[in-house]
Amino acid sequence: MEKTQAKPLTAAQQRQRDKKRRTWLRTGVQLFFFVSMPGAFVAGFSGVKQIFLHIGAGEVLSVDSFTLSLLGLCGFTLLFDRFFCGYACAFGSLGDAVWALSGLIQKKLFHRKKQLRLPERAVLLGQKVKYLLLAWLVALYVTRQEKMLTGASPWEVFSRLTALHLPPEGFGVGIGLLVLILLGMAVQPRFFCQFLCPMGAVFALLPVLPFARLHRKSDGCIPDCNACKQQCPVCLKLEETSLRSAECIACEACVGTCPKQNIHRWDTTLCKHLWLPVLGKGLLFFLLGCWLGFCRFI
Amino acid sequence: MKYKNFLLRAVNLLLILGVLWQYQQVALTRAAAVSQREQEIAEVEAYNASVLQAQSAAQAEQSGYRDGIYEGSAYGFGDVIRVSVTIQNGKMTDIAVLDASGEDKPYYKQALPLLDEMLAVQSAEVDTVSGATLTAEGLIGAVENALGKAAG
Repeated sequence: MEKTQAKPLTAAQQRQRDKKRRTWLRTGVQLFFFVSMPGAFVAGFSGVKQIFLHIGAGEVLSVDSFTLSLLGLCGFTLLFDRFFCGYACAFGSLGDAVWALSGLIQKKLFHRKKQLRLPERAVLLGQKVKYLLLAWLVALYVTRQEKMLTGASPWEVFSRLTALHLPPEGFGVGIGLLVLILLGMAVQPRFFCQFLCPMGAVFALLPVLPFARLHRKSDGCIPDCNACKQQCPVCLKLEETSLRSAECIACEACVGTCPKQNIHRWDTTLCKHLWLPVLGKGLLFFLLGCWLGFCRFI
Repeated sequence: MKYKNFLLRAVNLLLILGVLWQYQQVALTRAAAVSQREQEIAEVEAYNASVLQAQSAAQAEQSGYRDGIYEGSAYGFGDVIRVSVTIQNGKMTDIAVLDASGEDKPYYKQALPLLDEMLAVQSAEVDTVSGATLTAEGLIGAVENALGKAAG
């Protein structure tokens, strides 16, 4: 006689479980890439730098490990959306960690239910800053004045830290900027990614295939529910087509939080269960990891 | 139109790629012309070499480096970089890297031309390579360290 028969989960419980699994899977992928290739984003942007330095010097463009990283990352983003930003970039993961930590501190120490964050208008304006920064950097490279950036790059300080060494002397400006960025990360999710990242600016300008993007079927939505908008780190309104959808960093917080499961990508449209998307993404990240690893050792 | 945004971006990307492609063609023709020019220059330089050799022999007595092979080390990106510097007739003739196992390969490759630069100016006082600053500083520091021993 069966005494304890597992009660079937209600729809709400199922959703909760899916959401939790989703969060853990994402954290796992982020942790893996953080440990194994913390320098991937620097290598990608070094590709942009190489190209414009060569042009500034009037030299022939050459294929080296940095330009290959850049090509790989751009091709990946073009075909599958900005999963690199949402899952694999070490600096993005750092932003997520700092934001989560700041939320925890605010909740435990100050008993704030709603986490402090920047007003939406400031966020929308701030997102333009990264394009200016990209333009400025490219201008510096083409005019061969990149030497003035030596010691000022917060990325370089960060990559030094991930190699478990203290930053050397002469990196005062870089350290200062890194501390400021860390503070920013505590008051806005993905602070660096959406406001300052020049690599993010490159990705946001790419024509990502429309079918690879997230889509929202808003006709089935609960009136006045804006759970997805509340969760979005880059303040997207998540309409079907929007110019700003290029800002999406593919973190998929909206997918997990939607009570009606109205937000889809191609993979979830194909299969309602969680396993196919997970398998597909696992394969994608495996390929990405292989390519970046390959670039590092040539 | 639904895909207007995508199409606009795609056209932009193609334009950028087109410009880069065009640039590459121009750069390649230029590089071919330059290498032809360099051949001519090499002939002139071969003639000059004899003159330079006489000059460097005169300089050797002033450089103050004693002949021999000296090892030097300094901190690079991940670990200590060790180099050996060969001094012949008071001139730095060779720099060999003994150990750079702590460096990231792509960045290390980027910093390597510094060695030729240092040989050319006969000193460790050269600019670092931006992007590979730490590795470059390690190499420069190690050569400085070795030259210090050669002078002392």
